[in-house]
Amino acid sequence: MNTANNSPPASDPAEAAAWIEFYYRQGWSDGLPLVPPTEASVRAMLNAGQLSPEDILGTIPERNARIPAEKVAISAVMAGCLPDYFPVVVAAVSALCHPDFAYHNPATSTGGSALALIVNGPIGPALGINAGNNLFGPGHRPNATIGRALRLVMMNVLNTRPGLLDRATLGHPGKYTLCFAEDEANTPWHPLHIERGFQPHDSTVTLYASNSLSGVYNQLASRPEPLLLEFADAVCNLATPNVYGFNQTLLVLAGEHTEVLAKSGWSKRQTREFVVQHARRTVADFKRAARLPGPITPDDETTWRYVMRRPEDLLIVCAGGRAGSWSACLPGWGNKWTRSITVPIA
Amino acid sequence: MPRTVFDPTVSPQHPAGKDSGDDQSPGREISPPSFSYAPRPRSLDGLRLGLVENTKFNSAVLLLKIAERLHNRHGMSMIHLDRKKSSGHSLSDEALGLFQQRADLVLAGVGD
Repeated sequence: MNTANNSPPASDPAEAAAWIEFYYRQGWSDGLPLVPPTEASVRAMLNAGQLSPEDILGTIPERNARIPAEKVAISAVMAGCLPDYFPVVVAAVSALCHPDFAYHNPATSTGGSALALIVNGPIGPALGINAGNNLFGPGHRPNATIGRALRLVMMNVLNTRPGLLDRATLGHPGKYTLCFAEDEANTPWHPLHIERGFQPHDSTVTLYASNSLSGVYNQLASRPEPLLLEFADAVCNLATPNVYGFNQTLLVLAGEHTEVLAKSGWSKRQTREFVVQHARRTVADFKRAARLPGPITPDDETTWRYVMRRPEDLLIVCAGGRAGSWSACLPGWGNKWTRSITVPIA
Repeated sequence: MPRTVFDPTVSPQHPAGKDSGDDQSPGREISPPSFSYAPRPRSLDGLRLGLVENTKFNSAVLLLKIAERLHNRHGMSMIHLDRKKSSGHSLSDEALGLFQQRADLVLAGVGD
């Protein structure tokens, strides 16, 4: 292979390596090498977003911070984004600044959530954002770099740095990046953005503060009920931080599980209500595990705590490989003040 | 390769976003942002105390216990305990104004 596209660049790799080391020394990296920005690459990002360098994309009052477009463009270049990805990054930043996301909560918490980006609409396939096999794994540039760009903005513009304003006890591998598209061609229901009032031709990104992902495995269920009981169990295990009943939870339905639900004829609402109704533990369960204070009373054995209060607190997205008996539960970070936010991509 | 250092941070040194210092080589160092703290009181005796309760478990219990000890040891008086919307939200403007007018010292920041 010796085509023009596969020819190495004429510039000296040692010079690029020196710049990469320079960025490390400044403390600007997430731990991985940063792409050296140039006047041209930063300008290309801004042009793709139809933005001026001084435009302010949002503010975080709790951090006394404003987010200039130029900083986001620099971060996107450093993360490895193509200019075509930049409108998604810009939309994600605007979601980050939405008051109902309450950024300072999930960004700072010892809970250490990752900020998941779920892309809907035509822009997903157009940019090649992976919605299929190995959904949360490596190998897809937009998935890898769009989420990374958002994290670099968080670190470098909003001071969400480990040990400073990121106080996570354990962190989350998804803090490097957690971005994927919904597999709208294979969902039996309306995809997420249409549920939230957008049109099929709209492109959106949904920002969701996600605690650690757990896989949901079931190879035998051929009806919705046993499968959804397993989902409900994954949502309400005793280790979940969400014992107060006001959290959102994200289920990513994949592979054969999607087919089971599609063939059943169950609606998305029916599916959602079933899971929410069964995602519960008794107060006694929580007290035995010291997740709630106080002695166990006889009433505690029959008093239920629901992980979610309302069906709409359960987000359901279809994505992942078509083969296999795996889906995923991504419990939401934290408290009633942080809600997932869906915004249009310009 | 780059000719300019593009600084991705927002800091007091480089509020506009691009470091335009004379030395643009990758070998140069950029100073980290600096912060300054509010002046600290020389003595706690007789000061007026404000408390910010951030909704964390037992946050109010702990703060009130500290206030009680400060009262016993230094004669400090608690003028107000404000409960924030959540640990991640800012203090309300109303509470901020009250503390600015009436408190000499404010305790906040209870963690997990």
